[in-house]
Amino acid sequence: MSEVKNGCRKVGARLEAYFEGVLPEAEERMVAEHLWQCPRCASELEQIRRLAVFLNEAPVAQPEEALLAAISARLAALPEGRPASRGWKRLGLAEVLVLAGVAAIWYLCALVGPHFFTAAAPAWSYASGLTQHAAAWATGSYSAALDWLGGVAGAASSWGQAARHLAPRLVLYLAIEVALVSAAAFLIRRRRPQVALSRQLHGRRS
Amino acid sequence: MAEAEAARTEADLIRRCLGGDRSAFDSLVQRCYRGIYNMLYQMTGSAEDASDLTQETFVRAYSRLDSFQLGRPFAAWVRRIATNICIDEQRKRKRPTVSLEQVAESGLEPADASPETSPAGRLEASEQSLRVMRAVRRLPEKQRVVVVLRHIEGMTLEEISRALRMPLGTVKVNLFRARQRVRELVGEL
Repeated sequence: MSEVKNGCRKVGARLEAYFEGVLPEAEERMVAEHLWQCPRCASELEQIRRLAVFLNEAPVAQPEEALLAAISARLAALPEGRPASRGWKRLGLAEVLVLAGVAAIWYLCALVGPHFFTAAAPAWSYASGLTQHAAAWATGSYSAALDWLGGVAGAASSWGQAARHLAPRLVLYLAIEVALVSAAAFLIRRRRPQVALSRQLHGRRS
Repeated sequence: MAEAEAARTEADLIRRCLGGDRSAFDSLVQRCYRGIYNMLYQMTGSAEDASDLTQETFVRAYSRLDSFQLGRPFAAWVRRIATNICIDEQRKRKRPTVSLEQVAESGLEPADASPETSPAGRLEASEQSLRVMRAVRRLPEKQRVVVVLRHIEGMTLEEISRALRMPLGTVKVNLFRARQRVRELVGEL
């Protein structure tokens, strides 16, 4: 008796899957054998069957006649022209984030690239001397330190020059890169359906 | 044979539509709006919501028609759009699910539970079927959608998995739990 009860527990958890026919073969056989000897589980399976029948034959809801006209009115209110020519609006958040990430990396590469180091060379030399002159100040060699401080103005000026020199180039890099990557994403997004459609519309040329 | 003819006509209509002929899309709508409405009605339990979502479905289908692959059934594609719209809408509203017992205690009937009082009306069914469908409307969103797609739309588990982009195992779990819950709510059938 307890064997049947144990079986009931096992089978009860598998009855829905058994009814759908998605159990592995061995389990299906086990459930089928149990059902032969257990009226309670057999009755539960019958309940599942009856429920499925009720669900399959659910009453069909009929729309009001005005619905078709309402759909036509909504469609008529859309802008004229071919449907779905607004690909930009279909770019999802994921694509935008990827584009922004790539753009940021490219921008940073341009920022710390060779042009920048060349143009800002005087500033770098002053910056690298900071440790030495700080040490000179600390040891009382004020004249050397004052010389260095005087050079800071020149360094700032060279940084400014470098920035002024590079700014248009960096903006250009950024603009070109955003345009290229965005266009690529846009085309990739549209390409598949277009290829599929053009194949179907113009037939297979081969 | 007739099926192939229908598919060819459907493809013609879509081609015309992509060429800018909007009346062709009206013909496509006419072919499948009843089925979409019925599915949405079973998912939402409200004639008004089903009507609004049906309109939204076709507007979205039209604006995304370029992503439709010719040769595939148009109705199935629209059904998928409708399902997604319905799920999104219900998430936005976060409609609470309540049990039949709670409904009985509150003395309120679920919206549109009775075909006679429903604006969509004209439902013909036994009391038992109505009880079952009322119970379905009390299910959590995912379970309800899976049940409707499986039983009302007659989709296979694999088709549901693809349509909802849900792992097959999750589809099974939702379906089995849903039917179990409906049986608990309805009692002896």
